[in-house]
Amino acid sequence: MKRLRFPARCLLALVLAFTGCAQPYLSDASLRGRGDALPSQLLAPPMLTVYEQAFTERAFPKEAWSREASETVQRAFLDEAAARGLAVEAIEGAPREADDMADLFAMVDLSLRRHAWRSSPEAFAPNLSGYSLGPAVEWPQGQKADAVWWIGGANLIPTTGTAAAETVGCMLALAATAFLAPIPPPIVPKVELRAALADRTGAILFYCVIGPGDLSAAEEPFTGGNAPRGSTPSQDLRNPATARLAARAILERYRKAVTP
Amino acid sequence: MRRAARRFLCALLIVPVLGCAQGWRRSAGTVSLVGTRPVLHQQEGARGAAKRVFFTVPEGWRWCRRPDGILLTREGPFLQQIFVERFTFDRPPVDFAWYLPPAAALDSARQWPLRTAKYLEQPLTQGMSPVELAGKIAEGRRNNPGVEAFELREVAAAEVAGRQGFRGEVSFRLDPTGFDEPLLYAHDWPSFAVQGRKTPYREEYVGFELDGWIYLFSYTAARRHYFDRDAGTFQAFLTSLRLDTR
Repeated sequence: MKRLRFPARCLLALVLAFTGCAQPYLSDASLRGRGDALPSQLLAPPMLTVYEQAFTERAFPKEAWSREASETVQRAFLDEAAARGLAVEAIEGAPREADDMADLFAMVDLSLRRHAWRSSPEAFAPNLSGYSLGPAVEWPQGQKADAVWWIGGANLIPTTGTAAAETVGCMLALAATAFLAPIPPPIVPKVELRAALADRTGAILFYCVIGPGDLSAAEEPFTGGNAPRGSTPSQDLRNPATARLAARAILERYRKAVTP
Repeated sequence: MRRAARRFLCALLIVPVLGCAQGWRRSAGTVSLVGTRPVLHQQEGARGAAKRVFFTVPEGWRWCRRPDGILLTREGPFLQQIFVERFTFDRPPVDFAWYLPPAAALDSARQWPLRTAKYLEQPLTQGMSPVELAGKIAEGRRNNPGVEAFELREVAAAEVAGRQGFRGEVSFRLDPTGFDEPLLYAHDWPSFAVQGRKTPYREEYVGFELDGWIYLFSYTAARRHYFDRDAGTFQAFLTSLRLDTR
């Protein structure tokens, strides 16, 4: 095996120092082997923000796109759960308690991403202890639920000019890497989905972050549903195929968390 | 040339590691906000030095220094925090838009949007009663650009660290669209991507005035679940306060 040259070794050490080992999910220890103890689950309306990424490295939130992406991801998640034999229903209506919990989830999600996810530069400890949405007094419209799924995230849709600029930047970075020194390509990740499962006490039992690489991995052949195969996945969550891949990535991690 | 390149690459490795070590600290026990040299108070024409403030970090909490004070939290400043700060009646507020590098290690401490001194209703005058001071601080909260649905719940005189001081309680919602924040920086996500939700918060603050300086200790937490859960921790924190009056 060829030895890495010194600059490459330094870069590898730098990358490892910041990213650490891959961390597919965080889960409470009580969840392992308990999948059957949470037979009925609800899905809160996904809270996604879709931005138009402009050439000047600024992003502008688009309300209509966000609504479309949230609805697409909701449908995809329910379909994927059904294909896996999980009983997940959408929360009906817009009950006040769910709204209250959604307000808190925004900050719990932000804090988990910053302080519990290992790859974050300001991570405290990689566990879910202390994170909670507070106990639900009553579930919406008498729906039974042992746990509720909460999904949030962001999606960048580059303009044509931005996409072209990123392509040129990639080619220049590749050329520089080949002849000078390793230079990372100037591409901002386009999609990030974060999913959490909370039980009746509000305690977060499961949390994961899905990025562009996870969408590609989720393309592996699957025996249920309409699995898109053999194509490079788009990174637009308004695309039902992309949303389905994201849902698959989340539920696959959940399956691993509950498997004894 | 190769030696210089190696040194440069080593520095690239060492600086971020050292920077991360300067981020959130986990040490329990007593921490202090150091005193200052005497500063000239323009209103009175006299000099007054800020005293050193000692307190005990609650078990399981982390803390970091900002240019305007010390921030403590358990799960993150956007869920709950205790902030120790002080400022003079007439000194320009500290603007720390550019924080110590590397910023990523303390992003959430920098991005918590509320600033006390910057948005205080002026003028503050020495000789104001504690209740008036508490009211001014509450109005300053209302003036913060990211604050919505502000409600003043209470202001009153109170004893703080053995001194005549004040306490106040407010509630508000944080509106992420109200912040002056670039949405993208290199290879990272929108820094405040919270899907347009406006999380409700409650805040309890206590403080006192001494030699032209206002000392403020505030506890802010998400109204649902977190405020009640950690309120007792804040009370225990207040009993640990000590002022170095030398």
